Amino acid sequence: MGLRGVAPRVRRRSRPAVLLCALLAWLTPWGGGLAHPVGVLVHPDLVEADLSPARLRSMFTLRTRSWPDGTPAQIFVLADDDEHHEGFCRDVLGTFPYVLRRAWDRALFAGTGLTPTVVKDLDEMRRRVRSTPGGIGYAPLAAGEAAGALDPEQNL
Amino acid sequence: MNASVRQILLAAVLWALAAPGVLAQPAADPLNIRGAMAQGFVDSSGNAVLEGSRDGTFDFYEVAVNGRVAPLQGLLLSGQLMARQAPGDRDSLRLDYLQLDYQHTITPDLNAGLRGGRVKNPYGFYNSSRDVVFSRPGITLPRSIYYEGSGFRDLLFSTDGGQIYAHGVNRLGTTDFVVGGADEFDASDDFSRALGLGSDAVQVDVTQFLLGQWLQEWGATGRLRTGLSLLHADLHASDTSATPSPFGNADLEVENWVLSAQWQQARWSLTAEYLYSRTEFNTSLFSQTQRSDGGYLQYTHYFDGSWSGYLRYDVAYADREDRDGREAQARTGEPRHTQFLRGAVGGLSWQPGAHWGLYAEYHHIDGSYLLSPSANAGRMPERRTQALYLMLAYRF
Repeated sequence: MGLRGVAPRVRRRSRPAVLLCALLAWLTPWGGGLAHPVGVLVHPDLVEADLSPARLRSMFTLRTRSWPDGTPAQIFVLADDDEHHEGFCRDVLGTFPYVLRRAWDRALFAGTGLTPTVVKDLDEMRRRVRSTPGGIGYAPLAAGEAAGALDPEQNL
Repeated sequence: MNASVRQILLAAVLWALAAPGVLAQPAADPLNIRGAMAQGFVDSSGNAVLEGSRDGTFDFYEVAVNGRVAPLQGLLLSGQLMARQAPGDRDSLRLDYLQLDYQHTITPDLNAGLRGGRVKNPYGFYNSSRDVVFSRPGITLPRSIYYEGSGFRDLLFSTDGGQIYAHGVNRLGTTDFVVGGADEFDASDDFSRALGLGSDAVQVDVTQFLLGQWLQEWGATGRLRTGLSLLHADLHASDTSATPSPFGNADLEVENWVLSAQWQQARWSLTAEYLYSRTEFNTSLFSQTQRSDGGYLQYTHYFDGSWSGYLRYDVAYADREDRDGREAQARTGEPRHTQFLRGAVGGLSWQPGAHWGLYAEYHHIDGSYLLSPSANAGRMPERRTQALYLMLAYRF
């Protein structure tokens, strides 16, 4: 009796519970981590730069246009749907590709910033960051490499 | 849009597309030219949301071409030409903004700057880039905050003046402040259009225009954003028609406060904004203070990298002491639904790649407050409006 008495109550609650779990799963951020986490690439002159996530987010949302020495920041990014771009947004900046895209569109159509340069792949990313004063981008960390301001000369 | 405007814009667009490297290497170009074009369709029943929308109209488009150059360290010169036919907007080529911006990095965590020229006004989350669909939260902006369709939008949009701004990283997260002011300017055309009057019927001068905004991203990730915006304007209106009314000359003092908040997650964001507006009218015959308010809540879901959908509930009241409009009806005889607006909006957006966007939006609106008087001239407003908006957009 006791079990039968309990069972219907469980069933009555189970449908909302399942729906709630499904909703939470649907709303939960994509979890898929990258095999190699993404780190920040900077021009060789900037490897000593102190780059907190908030400072990086200020730069990648175009609200900080220059490095502390006045050199203009030249930002390089991969396409919005690239897995390394998503990984960089999520794991380094703590945000999402659509948030950056909106910030860039606001700056573009309100005239308050220079939008980032979209590169086609990681090879171009490394080459452009290395050759552009004030350059900043990102790339997967090599095995055992610590996150931080990677020198693209070393991250090949 | 007349032929010469089309030719100028077409030439600018073709030049931008043909210029080597514009698409491939925008940041490295000395003069970085970009822009967007969009063609829309609107069909409404009940009231018109755009002139001709009750019969369905394609006379709904926006074209923007902008350029920016960084001539010296810290300096940024930017400008945008725009032509737009949309609810509350006019069909002509205009200089949308042309501003010189100097930014100085004070410490790695703090920078400040000055902006002057024809500058965009920060107000709420979206005002400064409101006229390009890619930088809006849908085909339309919430009417309650941005006066979309009412004709008063031009007072908000950009003004000739200057701004001081600062951006800092601190223990709270990141903070942005901006304060600005504008020269005295003539807003007669905006008011005439908004009120559905002839072009010479009223002279409106904005004698003082001040604004300020504080935006805060909270915590290490900044996923919670809040904002507080203030706009203060003094206006002087003169009735210049052949038979001026006894209320012909009026001084108005407008003060708008906007509270904004947004919570961002990987697959969704929730945005809410609230406007409190206080307007003092002073004429030789009477003085009156009107307090209106409104706000919206929007849930946006990002299905994947290209599809998103949104639901919005938008409310606005002409008089916050008379939300159902009964007192106004007793006083003026106008239908009470002219005093409020409650709109439910659902929309879908598809952006396959970096250039194209396709949007669809459906509105179900109860109340006729803030719907365009000029689009509904000559007929009694109806209480309910349904509208379907479609838009195809391209950016370069």
